[in-house]
Amino acid sequence: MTMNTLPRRLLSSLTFVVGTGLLLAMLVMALLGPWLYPQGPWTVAGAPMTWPGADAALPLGTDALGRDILAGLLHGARVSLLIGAAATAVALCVGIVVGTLTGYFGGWVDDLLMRLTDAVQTVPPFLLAIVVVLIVNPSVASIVGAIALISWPTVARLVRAEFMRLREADFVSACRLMGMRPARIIFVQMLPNAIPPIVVSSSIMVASAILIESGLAFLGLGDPNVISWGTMVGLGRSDLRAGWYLVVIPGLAIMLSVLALNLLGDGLNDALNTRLSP
Amino acid sequence: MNFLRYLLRRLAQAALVLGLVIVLQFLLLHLAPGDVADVIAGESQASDPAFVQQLRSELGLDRPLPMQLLLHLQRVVTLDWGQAHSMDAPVWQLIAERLPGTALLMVSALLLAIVLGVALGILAALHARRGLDGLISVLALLFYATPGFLVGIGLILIFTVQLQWLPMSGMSSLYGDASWWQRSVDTARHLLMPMVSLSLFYVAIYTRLMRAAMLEVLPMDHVRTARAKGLGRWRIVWHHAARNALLPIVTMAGLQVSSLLGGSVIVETIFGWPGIGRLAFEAVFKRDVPLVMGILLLSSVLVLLVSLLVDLIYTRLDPRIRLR
Amino acid sequence: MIPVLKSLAALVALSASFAAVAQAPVRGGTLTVALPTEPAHLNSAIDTTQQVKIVAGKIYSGLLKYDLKMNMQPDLAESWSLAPDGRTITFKLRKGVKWHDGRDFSSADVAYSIMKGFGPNNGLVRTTFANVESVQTPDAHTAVLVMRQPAAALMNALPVATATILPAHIYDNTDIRRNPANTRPVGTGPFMFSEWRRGDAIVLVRNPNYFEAGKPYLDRMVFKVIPDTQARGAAVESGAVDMVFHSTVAASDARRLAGLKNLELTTDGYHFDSTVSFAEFNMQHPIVGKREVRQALAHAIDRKFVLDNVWMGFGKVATSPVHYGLRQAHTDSVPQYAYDLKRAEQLLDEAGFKRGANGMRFKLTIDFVPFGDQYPKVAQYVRQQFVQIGIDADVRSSDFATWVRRIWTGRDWALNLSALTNASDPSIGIQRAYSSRNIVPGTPFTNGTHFRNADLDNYFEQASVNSDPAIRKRHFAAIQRILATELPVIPLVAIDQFTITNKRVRNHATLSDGVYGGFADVWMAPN
Repeated sequence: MTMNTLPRRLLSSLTFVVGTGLLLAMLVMALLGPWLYPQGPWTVAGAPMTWPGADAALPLGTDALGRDILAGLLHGARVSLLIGAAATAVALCVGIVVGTLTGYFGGWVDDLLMRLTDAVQTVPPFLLAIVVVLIVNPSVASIVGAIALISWPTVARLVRAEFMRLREADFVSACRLMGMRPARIIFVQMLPNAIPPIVVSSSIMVASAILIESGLAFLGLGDPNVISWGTMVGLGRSDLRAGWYLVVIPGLAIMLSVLALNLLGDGLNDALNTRLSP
Repeated sequence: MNFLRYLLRRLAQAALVLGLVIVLQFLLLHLAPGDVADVIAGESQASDPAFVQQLRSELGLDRPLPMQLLLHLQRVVTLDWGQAHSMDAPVWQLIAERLPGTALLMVSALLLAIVLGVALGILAALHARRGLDGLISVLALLFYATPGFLVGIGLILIFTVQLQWLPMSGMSSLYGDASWWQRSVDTARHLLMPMVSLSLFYVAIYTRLMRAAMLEVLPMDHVRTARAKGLGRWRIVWHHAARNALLPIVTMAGLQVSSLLGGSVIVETIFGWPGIGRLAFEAVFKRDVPLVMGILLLSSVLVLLVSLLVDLIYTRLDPRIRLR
Repeated sequence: MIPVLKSLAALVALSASFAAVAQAPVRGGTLTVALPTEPAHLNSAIDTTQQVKIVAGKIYSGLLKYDLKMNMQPDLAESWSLAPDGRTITFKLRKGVKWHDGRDFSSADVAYSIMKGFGPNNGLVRTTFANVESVQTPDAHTAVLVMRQPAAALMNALPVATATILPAHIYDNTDIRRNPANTRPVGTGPFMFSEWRRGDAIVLVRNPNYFEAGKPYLDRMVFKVIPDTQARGAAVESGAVDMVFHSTVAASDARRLAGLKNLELTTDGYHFDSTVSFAEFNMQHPIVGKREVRQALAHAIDRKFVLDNVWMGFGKVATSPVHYGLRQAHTDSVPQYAYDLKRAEQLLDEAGFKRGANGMRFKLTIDFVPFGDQYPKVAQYVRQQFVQIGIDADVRSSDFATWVRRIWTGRDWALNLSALTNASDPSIGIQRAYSSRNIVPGTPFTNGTHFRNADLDNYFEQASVNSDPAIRKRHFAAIQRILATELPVIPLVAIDQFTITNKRVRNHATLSDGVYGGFADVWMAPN
């Protein structure tokens, strides 16, 4: 598979196009936020509990304290997407390091690190996230950390599997025989080949990070100083009967971005993985 | 003999992982500033220094950390899981009381997910790349992407608030005497919405998995042979194709105990379902360290046991399948 | 409608309402109450949380009951008399009362409960009862409280959930916190403990030997644990539960529910709660320690907005930490701080905190009590208001243990949003928070601001020992004026808690302790 067929494959995959389209829409939302609502999502914009459509100036209504839902949605896009991306980035760093070490060196390094990975994966992930966030106090940093903590094992396993496969490949043995330093082999020869599955899974990981963050915020464990889609759901929960739109609107936003990222991942998977055809 | 050796090796591995889990959990929970004595004292609003000090020495908190860790390990091994100070009862008792609730929820959700997922996956594979397949795939994607709490709240809004068909909280509404049948129906009515909320995500996963697996199996030789022999359509589909595709599903299901336990926290909270997911959340919120550690430990043991079981089943079944 | 028919209809309606009022209590039925949190145990002598009190109040009895005007009525005490010097109270106890396990109730139980039970262990009334030097028991049906000094508030602090009478034969010489009776209680109250289904419900049944003949009317009481706010609202709406108490449905739901045909709402029966929410300051903080800053911040909060949108109008704007319902103490003639953002900015400028290059004057962290849905909302609102006047404010959320440690031990805080129950008397509810003699590191709901004012301390001391209501009222007025001037606390809302019940439930709010009482008089009308 050469580089110039890749864009063509991507664009011909419907899932990829739809996914990217939706994601771009989300990104536009995130960028529009500070521009359309420079005063932020916290200001009292109108009468509390206004329904969507009741007031032309408040297209999506207001919450219990009179804050504009649309402003919250746009500003929240930035927060939710950033948390998702940051958590995934950290998980990727840790996971790639661990996966590389275990995959390349094998032996006792592999045993030790894999048992560690097992240990982290054995605890139900969401439960672990709750424990971590509550212990360290809810904040954007602790949420990113908690999500990264429960996500890196998957990356590590993925990279390890790739490396173990590649380790036996001819070109790697050739490099070793040539006397190439391990670092060079890893970074220049092996890692680039492991990139495709990592790229596909990162899309999925950002999606699941957004889901986890919204779950944490729903339980009241969000950062109280930022509004994310999850916090909007958490805040709206106590006034659900008076206005179910408080929960459903940000809930739909979450659903759409998770959908977008999954479609993106699927599309990338189809395009990058020539092995599995159907 | 080989199998026995494999079993022993896996058990040893599991034990090592469990040990690591215990140590890591201990360190994590003791990372928090302040300790259990502060919590108990603060809650009872009687925190004169003497009382707090006495509490500390009772709980062994005034000893250095490595000592506390050893003490903790010792207690775990002797199955003394301590007292949950937020609920005034032994940890094991609280867990034992709530475990059946979560077990019922998880097993029923998993069964629903497998049955529905397999059915949808087979349908999708049989109509691959045509209308029904597209529809099912979209449905699966929607199920996957919708956050669990949204499903739960949506179901409540429709079935409890609007239609008033189903109860939205707890596991039973019967007190006093009731027949076995009445109790079962009552529990089933309470179980319906939480079960669906928890299971939808996994329906999506199994649908896609089953579809992919079927698509791999359908073109294979033995299926072609069966078709050539003129066997009935559904017989082919089930007997020759689906059963082979089922194995990865079952494997996956076993490995998802961990994820299901996490998902049950939110579902149990929304529906007031008395299970260990909600207990865990409440325990963490109240900083009830013994209870949290007990629940985390139990979950880890469960996960390890199930994955061990799945591994064993897989190795037993695998050679036979290839031979078929 | 034709005039004749109209008056006929009115007559029919009138007689129907009379009929409802005049209905005689019906024996039988199960009353189901929604519990927001599962209690840890059922001993209200050592725990002041709502979920413990509401169940314990049905199982145990107190010495006295109080009607809605706070007139004292007999419970376990048939009669009582206060000695002229105010230092001795003699209680004549009911005869023939039995504990649920069959043993006889006697003055020994009263002596135990006051000296070793709730006296030293109930966080709310501990200081009030610390005054009791001893309880004499000349015979099985007389208990004499001997006090070091007169305690004006004590006679108003004897309802069952506050001054729980425990069985000495079960509790004496044991560790009160570890006694198994905490989860299998034995009391003298109208209902007996029957079953505790963990995570699900607590069931009580009628006490057939209750000392008020013919009562209780109810067969059974079920306390169903429903942790989700919305679920509780749906439960009372659909009839799955008959009662939600202490404002535990979303305030936005409450008004809608109150308007439904089958439900009714009342704010009666919370006299012993009388909670006021506030924003309090760490007097040792370098910035908010300055009075001008506190005054400025007081001008920046629109309390009416908070009342209307966070508490949905259930209450009144508070001018002091004393609840307006405590008529013997509350006063409005104190310095007030109108909502005026310009004045707030002016005061901050004058205090030397001008806006910097980025428009901000200083940083401020807002902490809040981690209970209830309201305080996070208030925190966000306050933060937004402060940002408008140039304060770089942020909100910090913590769990209960961390919050307690931060406010009362670590002291790295500036502003804390919380609430305090007045109980039935400021000497019980308020003194503990502002008297400089009650600065106790590590213990929540003591003087966390470290406010020190000698005059205030004196007034509190005087008010607590003086039985003359007029003198007490003067002292309390002076206290409130000092608090409003020095402003260690900005009172926000004097909350009116509410109970929502199915209309079939009768007589649940006839006493001052409302839902926390015994419910011996409560009955359910048939469908």
